Amino acid sequence: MKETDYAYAVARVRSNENSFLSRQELDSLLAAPDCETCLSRLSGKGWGEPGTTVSDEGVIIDAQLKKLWSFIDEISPDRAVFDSLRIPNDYHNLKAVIKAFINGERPDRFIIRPYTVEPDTIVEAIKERNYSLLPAHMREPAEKAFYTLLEQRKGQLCDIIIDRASLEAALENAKQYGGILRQLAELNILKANINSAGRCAAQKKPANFIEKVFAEGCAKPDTASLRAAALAGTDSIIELLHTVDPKLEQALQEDGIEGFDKACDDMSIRILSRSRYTPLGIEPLVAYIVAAENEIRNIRLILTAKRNGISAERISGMLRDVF
Amino acid sequence: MMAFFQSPHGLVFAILGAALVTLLPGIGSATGVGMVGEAAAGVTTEDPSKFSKLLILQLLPATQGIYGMLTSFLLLSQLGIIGGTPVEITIIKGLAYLFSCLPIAIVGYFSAIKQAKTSAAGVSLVAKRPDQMSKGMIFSAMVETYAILALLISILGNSGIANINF
Repeated sequence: MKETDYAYAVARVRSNENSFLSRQELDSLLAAPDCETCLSRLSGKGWGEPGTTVSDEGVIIDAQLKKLWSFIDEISPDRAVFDSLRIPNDYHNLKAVIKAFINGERPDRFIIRPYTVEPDTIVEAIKERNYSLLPAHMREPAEKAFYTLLEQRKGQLCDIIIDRASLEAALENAKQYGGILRQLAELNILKANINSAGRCAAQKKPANFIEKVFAEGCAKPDTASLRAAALAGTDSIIELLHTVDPKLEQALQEDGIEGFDKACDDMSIRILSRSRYTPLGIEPLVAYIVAAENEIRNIRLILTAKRNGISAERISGMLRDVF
Repeated sequence: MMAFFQSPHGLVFAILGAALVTLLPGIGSATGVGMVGEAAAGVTTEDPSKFSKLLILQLLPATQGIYGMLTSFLLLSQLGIIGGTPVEITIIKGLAYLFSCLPIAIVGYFSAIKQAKTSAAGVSLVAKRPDQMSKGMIFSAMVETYAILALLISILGNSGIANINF
């Protein structure tokens, strides 16, 4: 599609950007005495289903996510463009269905939105062992992960198979559209691979385990170097990161994996910030989706903190920038 | 060869010039107005009160189509096709008219689309900061300059050619 085909969608997104919560509004939620006050203030801002009083944070978050994605589906000339942002949820749902099936539970409460594969289809595919019901990219990992958990009882390996396939499938999809979607998918792979390398190094995992961990598709650092670094230890991982971005290396060295994650998030915000000045095309829409999801993440964090009596000061530093 | 260029069938080329000068900027303007219209409809869906502000931005890329029509009208009058008897002109003179029409035909087409993109960005500006609408208009109007320059050259060229005996 041409960038001009997104004129209507971009204009609607620009209008809606005004309704993002400001930093002051987030601070006022942080300063609220309890979760109920936050929920009532959010309802006043149009969060949740219109005309309903919300007393449960899960409901308001779900409603907001649903609202976001139905808005994007409504305005976007081609829904499939944003599949790379939904595919990770499909794999999360696959993981939830496999685990629920093996534990004899219902997976409903673990299902997250938005998705490209109906959860019922995943349930049926797992129940009937009929993986052909799933999209092509999901069949092999679903079968492998199910077998690994059912026969070998290796939960960690099952997670690795699904997480890796999720990252690779999202990147493969993003490659069709290039630009900002591809950059974000590659950054997600980098973030996940460095996190995995860090864990492997800390737990001194053997080479045959490390071989299965890293997602392919990121040019720098390549998986062979990552494997070698994960085997050699944390210092080698830090050294390897220097070839990617010295800022990321510094963040990992000074603040550990938490600092690295934050540096990656800041990097994605920098990528998205450029779309502020893009008048047409998919970039403003992607930026809007990520910003809206970051806002929802911030609200979830605040509500959870309020529910569990965690201090505002502790949470404030954890809030992500909203584009 | 020279005899061919001096044969009195040049009206065909002059009319081709008039057709191109109507077609290309017209297509550019229609595409541009449509594109800004889509963007304006997006903002109006969220906030109908911004309609009048957006309408002005939508109209900006329409001018190239008008310039094309104006050039074409003047040329057709000059040739006696509108309101008179068609004149007989040589092929070389007809070609001169055709080339003289090209500046506004080509610049009109591309500037209308470029101006539409700037206007669509202006629509986004109005969506977020309605008080800055005039700035959005100025950005878009800057593109207009080049369409006006091309229009001037085409009109002056056409009237100059009329006085030359090829």
